[in-house]
Amino acid sequence: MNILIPDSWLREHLQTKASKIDIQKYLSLSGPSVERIYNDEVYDIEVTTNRVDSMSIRGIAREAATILKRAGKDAKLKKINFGEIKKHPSKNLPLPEIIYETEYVHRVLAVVMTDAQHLESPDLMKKRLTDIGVNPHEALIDISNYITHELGHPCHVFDYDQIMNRGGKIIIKEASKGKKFVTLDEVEHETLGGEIVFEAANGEIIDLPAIKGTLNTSVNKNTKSILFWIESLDAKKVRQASMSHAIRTVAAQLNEKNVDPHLGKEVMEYGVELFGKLCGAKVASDLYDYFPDQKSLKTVKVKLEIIENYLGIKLKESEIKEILLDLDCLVEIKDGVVSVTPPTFRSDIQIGADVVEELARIYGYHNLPSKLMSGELSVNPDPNTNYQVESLIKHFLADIGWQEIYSYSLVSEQQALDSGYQLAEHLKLANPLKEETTFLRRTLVPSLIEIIDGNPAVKQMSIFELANVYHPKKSGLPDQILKLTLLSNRDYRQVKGDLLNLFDRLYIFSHNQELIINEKINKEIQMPIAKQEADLIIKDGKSKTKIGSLMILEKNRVAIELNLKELIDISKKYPIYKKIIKTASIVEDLTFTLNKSTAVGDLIEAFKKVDKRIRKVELLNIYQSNYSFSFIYQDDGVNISNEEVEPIRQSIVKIGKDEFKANLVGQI
Amino acid sequence: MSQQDPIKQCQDLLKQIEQETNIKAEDLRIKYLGKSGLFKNVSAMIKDVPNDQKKLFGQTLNQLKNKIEEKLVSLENSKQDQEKIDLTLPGKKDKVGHLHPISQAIEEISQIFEKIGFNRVRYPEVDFDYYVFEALNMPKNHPARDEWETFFVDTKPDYKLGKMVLTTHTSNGQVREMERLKSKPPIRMINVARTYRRQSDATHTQMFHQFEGLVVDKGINIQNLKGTLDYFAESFYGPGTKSRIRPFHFKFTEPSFEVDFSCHICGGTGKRDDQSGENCRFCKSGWHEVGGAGMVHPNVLKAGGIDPDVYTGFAFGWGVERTYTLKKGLNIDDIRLFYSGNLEFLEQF
Repeated sequence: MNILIPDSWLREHLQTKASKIDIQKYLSLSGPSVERIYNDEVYDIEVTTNRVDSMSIRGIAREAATILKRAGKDAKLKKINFGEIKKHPSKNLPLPEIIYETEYVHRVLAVVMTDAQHLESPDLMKKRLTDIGVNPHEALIDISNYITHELGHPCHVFDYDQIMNRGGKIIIKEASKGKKFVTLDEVEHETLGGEIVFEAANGEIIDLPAIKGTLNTSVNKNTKSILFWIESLDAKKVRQASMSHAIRTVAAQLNEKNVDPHLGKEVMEYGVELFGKLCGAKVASDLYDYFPDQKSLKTVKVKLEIIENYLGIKLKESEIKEILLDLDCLVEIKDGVVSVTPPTFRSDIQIGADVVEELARIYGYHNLPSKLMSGELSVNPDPNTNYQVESLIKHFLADIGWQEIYSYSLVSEQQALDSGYQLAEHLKLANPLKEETTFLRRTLVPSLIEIIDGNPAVKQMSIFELANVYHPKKSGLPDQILKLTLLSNRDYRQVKGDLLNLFDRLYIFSHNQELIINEKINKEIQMPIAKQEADLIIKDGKSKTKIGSLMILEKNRVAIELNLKELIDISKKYPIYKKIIKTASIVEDLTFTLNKSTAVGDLIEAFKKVDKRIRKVELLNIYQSNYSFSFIYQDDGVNISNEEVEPIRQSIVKIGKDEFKANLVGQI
Repeated sequence: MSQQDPIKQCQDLLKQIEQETNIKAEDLRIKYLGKSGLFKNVSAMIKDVPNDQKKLFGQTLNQLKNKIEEKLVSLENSKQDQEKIDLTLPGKKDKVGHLHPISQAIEEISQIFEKIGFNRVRYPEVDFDYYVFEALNMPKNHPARDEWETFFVDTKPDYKLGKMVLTTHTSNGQVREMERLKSKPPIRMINVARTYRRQSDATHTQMFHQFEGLVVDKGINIQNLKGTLDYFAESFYGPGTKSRIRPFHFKFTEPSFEVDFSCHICGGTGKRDDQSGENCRFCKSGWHEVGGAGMVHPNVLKAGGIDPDVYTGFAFGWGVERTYTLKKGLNIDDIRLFYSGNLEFLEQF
């Protein structure tokens, strides 16, 4: 939470000659962070949620006094003394009857003041309120905002007569469900049940305490008498009500963080002083103070050895004592143990590590040396992946022309459906930020399509992404599976060639593994956006592993989605070296006319099986229905001759013709 | 044709090829390797070679073929050697792809930490409340949770581990790593993963990346954290970059820190170097905030089954995008670009 602190206001509590820059520097190093100074006057300070005691002018002054002193700057927290609250001899108004129907109340302070005049606040107060982002109204209203900011405990002003006209009772209780009330900004709310409310004798809600006042009892232009009021309620209850009603006032944000109830008295006295001075109001009742179970102070013990463990240096006992005393703690050091009793406003100091933090920050983190740790190393690599192979794959793809993409894991309803899974088979966010990012994706393909569509100027585009997909399970966390997905609008042969190159780079084929592309029949196609779909299978001896899918999409875009884990499993770090054959080979090209229905891959496989001396068969080019293949003949033992090739060639032509209706162009 | 010894003929041809000078490469090919070329003729003589000499003949034949090919190459080259190349011709670039800048950053970050013995891991992006908050000393409804704009998954909560959420930070890896290592330090973990928060503007995206460091062992102290931060700052941003830690509050570390690195644009002065006296536009008073860190809270160690009286540890977790965009001269002012899929942007990396 950020708080704005005007310098002049701060110096009403802090006696120092330190410059604003020094205050900014040293506070930031050892305390709350001063993010900037506005107009060379107003500090913008981030106070962490555990330090509600610093969320005020006084709180910051207290921190600054300790920190500046340590930095060698003269600084002191000024004492404040407010007068005791005394009833005006000629005024006498009864306090309302306060009835407690809940145990969540830690303290209530109240006093009645009368003869209140409706006057403007003094210029200084108005300026300061403006500086801290609060609109000034009139003194009767401004005072409570001003005090809250200065001392850090929220307070409230009721129109006294409005309460008395409703029977003069304030019943503090947990609300039943469904009761309507209107807050002072004229917004209607309905109780959810369980939040703490104040009710009048007739059951009407007259306040949402610790959060916001209600319109029916707030100060208005006819107010003559006020009930100046402070309550301290259970912080969790305040937070629950504030969050569920989405009323996030300054009061709520402070009260939900356990403001020290001991602060109440000072705030009460300061308020009475200001109402008297600025509004002419007179005290018309005794001070009401309900403080049922004052908690005794807790002592935290920490061994000197632990302090040294955390800091890596040994602090002198006198230094430890001095720092903690400066922080208003009681300290005793005996038998190597430091016993620390923090003041009531430092309820954040609860365990040894909290004491260490106080010592370390005030000593100055910047004063501690910087040293890398020594010691034993942990050799426990992630069993779920291999980051080197991941990196190799990414670099290889990038080097052969593929652009890596990072897209959101969250997709729209349409993109979810494009996966071929029903919406119910997706994980859905309960509170999405945008409609187009509601479902956790089961495939990366639609996201990559969106990216190709979003770059219409790029004619030949090949992109890939490595990211998780999410498959819900009946119970427990979803399966979160890393997919390597490729999408390209280039020709299928080029894309497949790149895939084969990748597999070559991962030495998949060198280890005698074979890729099988198993095309599905139409009704088996998973993705509705795919025209054709095939399983990619790696065959290793007798075992077969599905490693992903291949899809032909609209506009003949090619998508390949691989399971990274399986891909890593079949990849190898090195090839199996195959002896270099030194005999001469014969290379020749043969062209065949094929039917449209001929599967060229099958034809090539059939050619390869004709004779073991056919070392390689490659498709060279396609012209209309003519397909040219290059054949390499080679014998491991001797130089192969033309005469030996002749019968092989004839078998090739025969197999082509008989089994594939592929006719040789020309004669042999 | 006289019946000469085939081996002798082969050897003669070897000499002859040596002497071929004023001939074009293509003519040489036809003369020797053509359908009725000299090589073909001589190799056809194999049938006349007595069996005991066949091996020698084969070897000589091989030698001859290699020689012819060698000569062909040398003729081609000498032709090329005479041609002058226009050096002003524009280069022809093959299309190359690019690793996404986030991948580049993650690789660099991981390598820096791996050098000092950290193990890289990756933990679930969809995880239970327990690992994301509760085991990290953040009870339900605690105000500290407000800082994490959490996405919840619309599904029944687990009766033990609570609601399913998108991880708001990589800190869910802390207790998970302790559990994976069976609560046995030493632990040196670097967890890099996608994280999610309900936010979107020029400096925040719903999805982003974090890296989380966790070190647990006997005698780990604040100085070690400072040492690690300084080492990272110098490795990632260049020599001379400094780090500093300032007090902060996280429920899962105690003490907790905000980590700053010195600004390399203004050299840590906080002022522009044009003598205008104006403040540096890139940093706050000479420093950049990069993220949080702290000494692991005893309750977190306990949640991971580690005795806080014996072991201490530190942890840090920062945004990859934020850390990367602070690189000198990178000039990226809108991190949404990383997720735009805009090739004009991505191809610059």
